[in-house]
Amino acid sequence: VIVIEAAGGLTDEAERLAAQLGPSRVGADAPLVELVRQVGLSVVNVEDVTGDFRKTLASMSQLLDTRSAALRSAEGSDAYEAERDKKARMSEGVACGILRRTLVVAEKPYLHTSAGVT
Amino acid sequence: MTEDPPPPSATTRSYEEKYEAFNSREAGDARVAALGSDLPNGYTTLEQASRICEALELGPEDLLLDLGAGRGWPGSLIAERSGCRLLSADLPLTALRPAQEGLARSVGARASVICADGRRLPLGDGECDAVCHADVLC
Repeated sequence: VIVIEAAGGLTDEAERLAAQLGPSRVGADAPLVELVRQVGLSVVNVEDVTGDFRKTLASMSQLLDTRSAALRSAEGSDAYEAERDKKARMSEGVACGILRRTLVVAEKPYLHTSAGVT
Repeated sequence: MTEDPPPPSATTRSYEEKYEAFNSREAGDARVAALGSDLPNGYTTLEQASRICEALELGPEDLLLDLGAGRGWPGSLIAERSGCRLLSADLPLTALRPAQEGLARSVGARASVICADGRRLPLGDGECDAVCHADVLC
């Protein structure tokens, strides 16, 4: 599982700002890793991939700028502007330290029974 | 793909419009430059998808569910490298059509695409060996 989420330990105000700057229609009551545990999975690996996300956003934003004319023509100006604005907002959230991207690998716990491992 | 997909909600329609723009050649060129492949939707890089593939350790008998697959990424890479079977599920048809075309080329008959809500998948308990879920609703 990989998601963009609010960084941990934020104030209520920072949480609200993260929700504004982050992806639309995303909200969770707990960090991803906690949600994964809550559904009964064993977490194998948790990795903060915000650094990669920052680079990808920067690269995409640069490409949106340099290919502006072609993208506007292909996608329409409204779609182009919406995408450009979204990238800018998320970049701001990452730069402020209130948005992060997390990769979680988890597995279903094996049940040890008298019949063996299931 | 199912014959009778559910009627799209307002959210699904907004994503269908987004994917229509996303499918342009120019946008594809930008993804190649930023992510290393034309197929990705979201922000999962080729390198991250490769790491997920290694961690899952899937084989030809295994079934991977890519939940919220969009255009098929990163499930396509995992299935291509591991040889596993793949079920890519999402709602926007404008994402699933290119997913189906791309997966037919890269994964072949081991891949299936389904238009389905993640809360109501036509799967029984234990049918999948692994699930990947990346950048859904972003």
